[in-house]
Amino acid sequence: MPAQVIPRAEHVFKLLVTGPFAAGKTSLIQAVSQTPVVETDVDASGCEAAVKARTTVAMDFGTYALHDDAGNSDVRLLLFGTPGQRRFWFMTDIMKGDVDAVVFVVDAEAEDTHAEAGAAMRSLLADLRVPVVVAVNRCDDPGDATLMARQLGALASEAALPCQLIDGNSAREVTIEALLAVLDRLERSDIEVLDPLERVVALAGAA
Amino acid sequence: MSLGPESAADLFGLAADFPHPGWVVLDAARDHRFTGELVFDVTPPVHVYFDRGEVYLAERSTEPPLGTRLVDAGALNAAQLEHGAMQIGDTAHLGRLFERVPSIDRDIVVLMTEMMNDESVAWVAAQDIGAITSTPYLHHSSGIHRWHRSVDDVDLRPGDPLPAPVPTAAPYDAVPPAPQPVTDPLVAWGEPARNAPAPTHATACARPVPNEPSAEQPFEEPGPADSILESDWVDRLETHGLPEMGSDPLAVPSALPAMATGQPDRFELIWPSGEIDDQFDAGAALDHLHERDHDRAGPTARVVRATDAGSDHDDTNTDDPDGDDPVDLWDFETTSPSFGPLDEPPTRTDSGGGDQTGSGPTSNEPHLTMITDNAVQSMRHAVASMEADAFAGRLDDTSTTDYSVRPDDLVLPGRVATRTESSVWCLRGFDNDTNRSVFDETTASSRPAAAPAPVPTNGHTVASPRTGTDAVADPGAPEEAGPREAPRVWALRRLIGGLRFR
Repeated sequence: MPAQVIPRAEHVFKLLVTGPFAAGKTSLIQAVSQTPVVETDVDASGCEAAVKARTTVAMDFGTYALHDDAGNSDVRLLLFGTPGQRRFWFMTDIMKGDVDAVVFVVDAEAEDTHAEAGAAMRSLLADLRVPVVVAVNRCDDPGDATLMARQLGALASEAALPCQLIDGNSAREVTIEALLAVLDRLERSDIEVLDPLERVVALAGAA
Repeated sequence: MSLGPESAADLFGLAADFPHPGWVVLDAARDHRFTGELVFDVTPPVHVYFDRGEVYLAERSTEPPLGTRLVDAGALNAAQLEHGAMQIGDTAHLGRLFERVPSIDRDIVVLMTEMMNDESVAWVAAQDIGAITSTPYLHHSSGIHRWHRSVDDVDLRPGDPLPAPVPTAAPYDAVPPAPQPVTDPLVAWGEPARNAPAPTHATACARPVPNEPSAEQPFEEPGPADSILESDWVDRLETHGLPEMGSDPLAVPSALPAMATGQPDRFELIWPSGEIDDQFDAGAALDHLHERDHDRAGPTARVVRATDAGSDHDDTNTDDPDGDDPVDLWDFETTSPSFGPLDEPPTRTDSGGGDQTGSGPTSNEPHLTMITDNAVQSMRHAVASMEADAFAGRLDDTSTTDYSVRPDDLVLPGRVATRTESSVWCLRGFDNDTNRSVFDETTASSRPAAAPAPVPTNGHTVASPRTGTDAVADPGAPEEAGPREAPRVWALRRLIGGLRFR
């Protein structure tokens, strides 16, 4: 039986969900994805086993799609999750290509990971010119989230969102925030630039 | 003075033993610290020039001039030789070659000359010399002995005592360097010193005063005969032709009207560690604010309003619970001069047809001057919620194409200004037709054409969100069918709406 060919979506948006170990990246993708998340979780070992039982070693992959009247998906969101351990950072370099936005997840209560997370985020954003949303997991105060994002190296124009990624709605809020950042970027790039001659013509017309 | 072979042999103590190998004669000249010219009687004759026993030039009589050889060897180019050599009769003097043409690589020239000399000296040293002609203190006509030794050099041999210090010399710490008197009258013109302060109007029109010696112009005490040399020639000029003080209305200094300036804003830096540094001025704040995109890992900047600074700028301000940027909302949207000062971001009036120029809150509205990140987040969420609601309502109306104005339609929230990648800004305002959703733009052709004329405001054009900047280029151009926005933007809006109401 030949494999069914799924038509390619007309518009594909790619989000990269990254962050330190045990920050909540996989939870975010699982909450948003419509399809079963492709995950590469294995039993954690060493000191990481004391934090959680299983950990991602390669990637997480989830999708979300909108369908047209014919049932074909014309808009598709791809979520790529990276492993959090430093030894797997090369996977981030592999997956960061052509992303539309970055969701950087950080655990507010795991302060021992913040220094390394900040270095990783700045290193990542030095290569990427895409919007970033800092999702501060296990945090309820927007002020604390903003301050933490600044400490990690985020700009004031980059959104910092407190969230509880164990809740699916909170994860969707983070995703929507990232997509809004992409939308903002697209709208800015869509603005035409008025040349001086057009300004003069407009001024003359108004007069 | 030219000496014969016998005299030369007597000079070096070699008279009884000619012919001698060439190296014997060279050694004798070195031992006697001979200065001058020796001409070795070989074929072709070799001219060797000594300076205190050291050979600085050796050349065969058949060889071209030294300058030509240096050009041929690549150490100089013809232009450098032409500018660097001083032609005196038939002789090209190269003694000031390096001073006249600083671009010449001195090391290469000297090295090339030494290699030529070594070759000639090595050749003549191996010859049997039947006779020599010596001319003491005769230097080569090219003057290259100046290359190797300056007039101030002291010739010392191993074991010689150090020369006595100059009588005026003293340790550097004890006496500051005394100005050296100018002895050459040709260069002693009292040219105005470059480091001297620029003359003001008063000093330029003042009567000339006798020149005073200064550190920059160290002149000796002027005497009655040579006072013309030490005095500044500018001071000799009279003020003929210059207007009298106060006669020129343009030259009269007048006080400018006082400018009403308020208390300057204070600029603060918030480092990633949370430390706040406020030791910066407002001007630096603006410069830094405009470049903050390039400082991703750096501190966060903020401007504290002068009106607020008078009360308290603590991070625990009640209007700023998160202690963060009060102007972050406008950080990309406040550089337009038409928008007014930095703390007056462009806003939209709810009348729609009123003030569309983006005039922000004034100082009379202090409650609007503190925009926190909470407000930013709230506005973002409001935007997303309203867009999503509009999308949901749009789905319910997919069967109808009636886009007439309905009172229950949502108002497009939109943004007040967007920044482009260039320095030109375009303000997105709102027209009177507010009963539309952002998703109505997908069927712009079916809507009634109610695009208002663009309103230019100081170089910025307020355009309808429907027509965008197209209205500026051609206000009467009909809208094209299909989605006016980029399809990707439209798809992204759908995706956001779908996620919101999942």
